[in-house]
Order: sequence, then C-alpha cells, then structure tokens
Amino acid sequence: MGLTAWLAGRIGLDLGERLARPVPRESAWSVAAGAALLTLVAAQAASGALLAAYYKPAWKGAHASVEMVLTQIPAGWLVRSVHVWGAHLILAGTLLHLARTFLRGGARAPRELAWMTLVLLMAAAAGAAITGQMLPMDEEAVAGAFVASDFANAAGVGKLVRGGPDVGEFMLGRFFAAHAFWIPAAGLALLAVHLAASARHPGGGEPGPTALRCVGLPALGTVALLATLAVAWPAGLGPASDGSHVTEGTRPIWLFVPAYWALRVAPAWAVLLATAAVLAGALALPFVRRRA
Amino acid sequence: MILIVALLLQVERVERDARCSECHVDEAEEVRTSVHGLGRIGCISCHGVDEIESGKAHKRIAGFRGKRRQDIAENCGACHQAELESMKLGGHYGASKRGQNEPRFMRGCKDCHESHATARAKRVDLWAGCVKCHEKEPELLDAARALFGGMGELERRLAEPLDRWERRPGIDASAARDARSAAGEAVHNLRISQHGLRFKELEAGRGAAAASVDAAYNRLIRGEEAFGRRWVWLAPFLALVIAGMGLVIAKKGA
Repeated sequence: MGLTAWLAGRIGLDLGERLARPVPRESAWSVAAGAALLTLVAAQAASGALLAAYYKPAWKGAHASVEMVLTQIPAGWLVRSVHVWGAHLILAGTLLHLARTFLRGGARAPRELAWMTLVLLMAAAAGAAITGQMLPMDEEAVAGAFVASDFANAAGVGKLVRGGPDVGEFMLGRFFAAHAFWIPAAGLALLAVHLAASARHPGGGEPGPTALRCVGLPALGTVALLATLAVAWPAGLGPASDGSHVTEGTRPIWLFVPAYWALRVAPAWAVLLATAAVLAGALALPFVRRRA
Repeated sequence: MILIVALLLQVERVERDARCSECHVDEAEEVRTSVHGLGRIGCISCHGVDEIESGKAHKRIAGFRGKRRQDIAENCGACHQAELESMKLGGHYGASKRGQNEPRFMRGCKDCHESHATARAKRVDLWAGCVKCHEKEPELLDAARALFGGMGELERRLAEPLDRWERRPGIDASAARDARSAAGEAVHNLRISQHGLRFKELEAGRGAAAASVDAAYNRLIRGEEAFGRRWVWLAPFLALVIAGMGLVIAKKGA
C-alpha cells in the first residue's frame, strides 16, 4: 500500500486504485489487446537493447556478429528468438487490433485520433520489420534489401534510402538507425497519443472485470506465448550474403507476401501507390461521412 | 601463316592421341575420364611418342616400356613435385635392399597408382603389392594398415556434411568448420608426405588431425545436447506467468 500511495502523492496516479477500477465491458477486449501489444513492445525494446550490445551494422561483420549472438553469447539465441517472434506477433496482433476496432466502428469520432495513431503504429511496425529484416545480412536479408531498394526507387527516394547508388553499407547503416532509433522514437510518441486518446474515451456499458485483470492476464498470456514460440522454434540465420542479389529460395516476411505477389503482375510504383492508397484510406476513414 | 601452322600442329597433336585410341580403346577411355584427361594430358604427355607411325611408337625405346622406374618417377614428378620430393626421402625410391642399390628393388609411381585411370591408388592388389616384399615384416604392415585405415576414416569424416549443426541457435559450428578445414589441409599434406613412408611421423600427424576434429565434434555434440535442453529456459517464464496469473486472480477474489 505504502508504495502506491507514496507514488500517488508524487505523480497523481493511484496505481492500486486505478487497477482495481472496473473496465467497461464494451472496451474490456480492446484494453486486453492493447495490454498484450504493449507487452510485446516492451519485450521488443528489452530484447532489441540486448541485441544492440553485440550487433555491428557493418557490411562485412554484421552476419558474424549475429552468428556470435546465436552461438557464443549465453542465451543470445533466446533473446534474438524473442525479438524475431515478438516482431511477428506485433504485426499480427496490430492487424487484428485494427480489424477488430474497424469492425466495431472504433474509427469514428471521438476516437478518430486513437484510430489514426493505431494505423500509423501499424505502419511503424511494418517499417521496423522491413528495416530489421536487413540487419542479419544473410541471403534472405539482402534479397529483402534489394526489394526495399526497388520500392524506394519507385517512390523516387532510392538514393535517400540507400545512402548511395547501390545496396550497400550505407543502406545497412540507415536501416539500423531507423530500426533502432527513428522508428522506436516515432512509435513511442504515437503510442503515447494512442493510449491517451484511447483512455480518454473508455466506452460505455456495464462495469466489467477490473483493470488489473484486463491488463494483467493478457500481458502474462503474451509472455507465455512469446517464450514458448521463441524456445520451441528458435529463430535461425541463413548463410552469409556476399552482397549480391540472390533471389532463389528467399521469401518475404508474411506481411509483405501480397505485395510480393502483386509485384509479379504490376510495376513497383503501382504496388506502392496501392499500399499508400490503403494507408491514406485508413487514415481518412474517420472523416468519411456515413450515409444516412 | 604462323597461325595456320600452329593450328595444324594442334590438330596433329590431337590426332596423334586419337590414333592411339584406335587400338588402345580401354586405356584411352581411362585417361580421357581421369583427372589427367580433364587436364588435357594425353598419351604422348607420358609416353613421349612423337611419331605418328605406329612402328616407331611401339619401339621399347620410344615409350615408357622398358624405362627405369626412377625415370618414370622423374616424369610424373615434373608436375607432382611435392610427392616426388617426399618419395625421395623414403625407402621405395633409390632402391636399397640391404645396401644394394639395385633398380629391381625400387618401387615407382605405378607400382601403387593406376597408370591410366590415375586413381588415388591401385584399386586392386595395392595391399598385395606391399605384402609381396614385406611379408616378413608384420609390424611394418600393421603400422601401414593402421595408418592408411586411419587416414581413410579421417577423410570420410571430413567429407561428412555439417548440416545437422550448421547455424543452429546455441551451437557454434564455425569452430568445427575451422577445425575441419585445418584437418583437411593437414590430411592433404600427409597424403603428399606419405610417399616418404615415415610411418611414425605420419601417424603422429594423423593422430593430431583426428584429435582436433574429435574435439570439434565433441563441442558440437555438447552444443546439441545443450540445444536439446533449451526447454529449461521456458521454466522461469512459465513460472512467472503462473505466479502472476495466480496473483491477478486472487486480487479479484479479495
């Protein structure tokens, strides 16, 4: 009691009281989804910070540093596996959270800011996945980097993204900086706005389970799921790339499989335009008037 | 003009070898499919026959037939220098039986190697060849048997794929890769220096290479055992989750 009361006196937030408060039944599952995703974000931050201690964003040496984490650092494989699985779960979870919010009409006023920040958080997660995929510098990573470079060309920002005329060391440096600093920083800012906007309009309905239950159980469940996946199917590492464009046997991250298919029938700029249109449409959704 | 002559000479050279194969079908096929054949070494490269007329080519003086083993060894040694140098250190070269320096005691290249197929060693009768002279030296034969058996075993082991361990989280296969390539290099050098027949040195070298490979494999196996035990890592997480869930649910009841 002492600690939460002391904290309440200092920051004006009585955690004990807050967690004991019932959550409206209508928004209980949204809070649960948010809690699970926040747990994953925390796991990504923690595992990412540990990986960053050993990772070398060098054209020659990046792969070896990841291999060292996998083979020589105690539990390094587990930390990396948590990071890789956490990325998959965040992408899938955010997609589900978006779909559920959309179907429940959660994009409408007064929650439009929560919706828009969620859409942008999804984009940030996808960006983190794209930039993070290149970092291990195995053949699949470099194949992905070439695809990203093609898309950047189509958007007219190829040189900006690559830091040079070709896929190379500067692109790796930029992707590392984006993955470890820019995207997390933007994500945290978006997350703060998203949480504030979500909490401001908690929804109605009869009182449901306590906040402690709504947050605690999904968070713990997520920890169990993440740890089980990470231990059962540890993330591996492909053969080191020599920097050449190998496409045989490489696959994109599942989130980008539709874009990969679309690339076979349409030019990169068209696929990019369609993606941008989906994103813009999702952001504009709260402002589209519903027909009477 | 010079070009045309050169071209004609080239054609002639090929045809000369082609002429041999008209009668010596099996030998020509063996050479053609061997490393020598792939390296464009044909009949005349070794037999030295430089005449198209078969009459001259078949004279004993023209080809290898009737040549001394030492001369054959020198001819092979033009390319296989390291092997020849090693061979000169051993008892087979220079032929000494109880101090008698007689050519008939010398063992040359083709006493152990196929002449045309250039296999690593004679596929048949290699051991019989050893026993023929050394039958009263069982220790020597045992040492040779142990050494060459061990070398073959080591080579088989070095050829095994490491897939089972490659890039498995928690297992460092790179040390094993390095140890294997170092051992492969050592075995390659031993295969050259074995022409000197210094069994003690060879056995020591083979033992060292085998030990380094064993150590690397043992590390891999230990790594695999550790990988099999990775489920232990799940326990603290699950314990935390169960304890946390218990607390959360108990809090609700209170």
